[in-house]
Amino acid sequence: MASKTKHGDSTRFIQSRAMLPLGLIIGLGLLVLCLAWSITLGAAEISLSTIWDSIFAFDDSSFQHLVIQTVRLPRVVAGALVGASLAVAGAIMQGLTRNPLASPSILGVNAGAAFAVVLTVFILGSPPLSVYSIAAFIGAGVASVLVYALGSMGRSGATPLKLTLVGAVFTAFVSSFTTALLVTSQDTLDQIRFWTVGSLAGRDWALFTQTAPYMLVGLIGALLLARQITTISLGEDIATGLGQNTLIVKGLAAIVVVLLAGGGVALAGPIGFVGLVAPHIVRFIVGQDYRWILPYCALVGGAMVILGDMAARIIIRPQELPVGVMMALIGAPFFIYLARWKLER
Amino acid sequence: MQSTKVKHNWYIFRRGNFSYKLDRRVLPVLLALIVLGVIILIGSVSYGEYDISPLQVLQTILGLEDNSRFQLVVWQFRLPRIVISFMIGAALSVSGTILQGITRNPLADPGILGVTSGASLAAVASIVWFRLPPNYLPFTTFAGASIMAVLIYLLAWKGGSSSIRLILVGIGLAAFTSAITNIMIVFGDIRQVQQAYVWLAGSVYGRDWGHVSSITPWLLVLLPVAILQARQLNTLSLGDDTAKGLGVNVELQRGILLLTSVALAAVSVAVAGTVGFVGLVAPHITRRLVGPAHEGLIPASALLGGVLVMFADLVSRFVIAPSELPVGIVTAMIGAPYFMYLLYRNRNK
Amino acid sequence: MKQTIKSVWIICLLLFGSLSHAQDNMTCDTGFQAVEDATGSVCVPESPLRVVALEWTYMEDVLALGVQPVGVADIEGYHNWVDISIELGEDVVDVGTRQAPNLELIAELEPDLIITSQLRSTENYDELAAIAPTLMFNSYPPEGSYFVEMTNTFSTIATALNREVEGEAILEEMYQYFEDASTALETAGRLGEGFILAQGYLQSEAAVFRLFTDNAMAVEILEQIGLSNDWDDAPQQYGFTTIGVEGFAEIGDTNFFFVAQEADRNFFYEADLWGTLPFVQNEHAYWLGADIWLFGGPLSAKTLVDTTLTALNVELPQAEMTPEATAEAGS
Repeated sequence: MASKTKHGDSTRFIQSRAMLPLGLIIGLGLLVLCLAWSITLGAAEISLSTIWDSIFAFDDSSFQHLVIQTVRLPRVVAGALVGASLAVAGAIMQGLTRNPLASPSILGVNAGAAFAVVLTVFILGSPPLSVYSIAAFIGAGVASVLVYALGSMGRSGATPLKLTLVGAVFTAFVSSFTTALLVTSQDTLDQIRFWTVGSLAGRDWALFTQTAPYMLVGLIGALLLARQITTISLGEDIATGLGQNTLIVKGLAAIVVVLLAGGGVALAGPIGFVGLVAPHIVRFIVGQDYRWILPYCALVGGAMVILGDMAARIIIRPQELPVGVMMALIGAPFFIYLARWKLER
Repeated sequence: MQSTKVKHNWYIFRRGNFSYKLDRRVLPVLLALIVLGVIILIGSVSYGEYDISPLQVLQTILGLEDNSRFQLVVWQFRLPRIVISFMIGAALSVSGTILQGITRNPLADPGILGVTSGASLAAVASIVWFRLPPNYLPFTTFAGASIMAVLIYLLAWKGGSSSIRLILVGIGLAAFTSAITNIMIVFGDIRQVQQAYVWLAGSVYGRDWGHVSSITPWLLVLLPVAILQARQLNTLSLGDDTAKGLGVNVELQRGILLLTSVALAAVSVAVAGTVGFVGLVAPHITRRLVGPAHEGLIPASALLGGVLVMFADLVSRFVIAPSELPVGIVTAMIGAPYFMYLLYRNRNK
Repeated sequence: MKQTIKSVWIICLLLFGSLSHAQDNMTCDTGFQAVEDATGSVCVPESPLRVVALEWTYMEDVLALGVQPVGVADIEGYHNWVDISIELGEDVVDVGTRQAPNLELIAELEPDLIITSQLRSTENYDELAAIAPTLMFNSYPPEGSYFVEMTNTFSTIATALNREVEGEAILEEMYQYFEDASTALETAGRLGEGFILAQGYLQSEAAVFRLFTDNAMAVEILEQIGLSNDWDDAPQQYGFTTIGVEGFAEIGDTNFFFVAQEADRNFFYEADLWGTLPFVQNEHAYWLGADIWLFGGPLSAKTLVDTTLTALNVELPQAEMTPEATAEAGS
């Protein structure tokens, strides 16, 4: 099995540097294929030619065109963006903490953002959509600061075990508050499910346009920081030795993570494990350079969420599973695999 | 934890081959816990929407009060849930104590290790899919918890079982099982699902003496077993090599203890669902009070865990009265910050 | 080992002991009468005065029979969803949620009859029965019509409340009302028209609709007045199929009656998709309001018929047969 190999540039799947941009283009092509395939799936039977027309010859009086434009497209685009954001956030967290288990869901950032959204809805009733993302950012920010601070106390610093434990406990803590709020406000079970697992069902352009700018800013910011993150991922001493101000880089990277994870949760709820799994797959393909890891992560993460969402819609038709459940089914075994075989010590 | 330089005084009970060594601190602590427990019991049994004075409650319990309403409220509504709270608190706490001993990891807990999520998956499956009557729950949760424990152990095994891997694998498996539980809930019939949700949130609403008697036999067997295994647990917690050197069959002893711990967690899930953090918090507080020797630790942590959940139950009825919170939410709200504090204290370990 | 065997034995005893408690064919004490419910037969007082109703449908039934309950569950939700002509009294106590009502609060009300639903009372039936005689009904019987179950339950509650005459009169009026409605539809030439009945709501910012299938009580009612259900999905356990926006692809022009909270309705109206639906383009979409309870009793049934006729712009021949008039007759 290939997974037995130690990670390192020498064993990466794409050996030649020149091939990396090409791989990125191929990956983008594959992602677009996934998007297209996902658009063809749905309760309403819509032919390929109608789908083509709905995009390139849109007729706003056609039900089918509108289904494509206002239901399926926003859903897959949201899925791709959320997946990309969470995966990139995960990669950055793994790089900064040099912890293979770090990711927004494991470290409780998703749970913090979800709780903040539920709390806001609980207090304000039905707030304007723009409030969702702001609440999510605050939640994600507070959660990441708290978890990182608690997880990195002591001489040994932020060990994978401590961070993971603090993240797991923080998640349990915060989701008990989420449940308490939902119990007192008499909400339906379906809504509880949404804010505990995450789902793409019924995401529309309104919420998308409110949250997408933050995630796009986050993605661009991530790419700009990629070189510095690579340096830190080699070790803080090395980074300092190379004259890097690690504190500033870490602070900026943390803001990027909050934008990405918070935006993702505001749009689709706390979808777990994408941020954990995608970076590992990508590192296996491209090695340790974050200038390549991050864009590849965006593609892989986006594709993962779209494929997971398709599976969630197909498995028990006509009912739907939340995509977060699918991600946990795939991601949790991967987490166990990492903990068992990949974690040193 | 505690420095071993503290001067110890021991009570030693001996009879033939059997000996039991108790730290001197244990008896006063037990006594204090009993007093505290009684105080909370009185508060809890006196608190409720139904207006009865503590004196009348006492008279009702002693059989001096003929008012049938008082008898109903005190005997059927308040006491069973308080007793259940105490029992699951004791079970979870001892379960956690054992797990912490055999993994030599102060952060082990049936919830964090994922044992309870295996049990609650089994509970949900038996309600939603197999539609078994509630009496079967202790058996199904035990099966679920055991399978989970074996899986955790196997997956974390890598020429020995490192406690870090145990915990991480447990967290992963817990995420996996709860995904399956979620799927089951999407499939299930609403009526069963609403019942199943009780198991997920951890609640003692509507518990009656039937529930009490369904888990009493389990506790009557498991708690004494745990106490009798205290010495072996002490040896195991010194580390495998030392234990082997002392002539202990490590894997066998660990197996027995693990089984006891898993069964205790399963029993509590069977009647109240997943009540988290008790198995983590209670053993810790107890260890600070009576020291690390398990002879005293196990009975004291049972008491403390019971009192803790009794208290949590009182709070859960109090906060948003006349509605109530699931008790599992209250224990998480108490337990999680304590856990963080624990990490802070152990930051240099 | 012995201990283990012994404990297994005890567990078995407990198990079989509690599995076998069936109680049928009881004779009741004087002052009590036996009434049939979903659990079998229950002895209830012959004229109960203090009634606690833990499900909105039974609250409505009790009110229709002219009795103000002493305690009910989730009053806020009741007002949001249920609209009948009889007001709930000011001093009626809210005992908490329908799923987990506060048992002590119920006990404190000293009820002599509790009415609850099998759907909700999985965890607390024994406790409720210990407070007062408890009737538990199943609105979704595995066999038979939900509408028949509704009328049977209503009659049973009428019997339990010692108001059989009033109960029969209310049911009579309801059937008469259905007939009048049918006549009115015939006069208007709209008898036999197709319809789809739906309940729309937002689930985390996404539009979701429940379309009622043939076995739903509300559909049975509308069919009784001479309309015909166009949603031909197989009968579902709770009488509806849940669809997202895409599900509308299969729906052509029909009379689309839907119930929704006002904010949610506005959300649907603002969606571009809404305008392209055949029944919207032909102006056959009718919002029935927010508080038409489609799972209720006889009064809700009449409210449903009344609202439906108003939506179709069909007038009833006799003016006095409005819900208000029947409410007065019932009280």
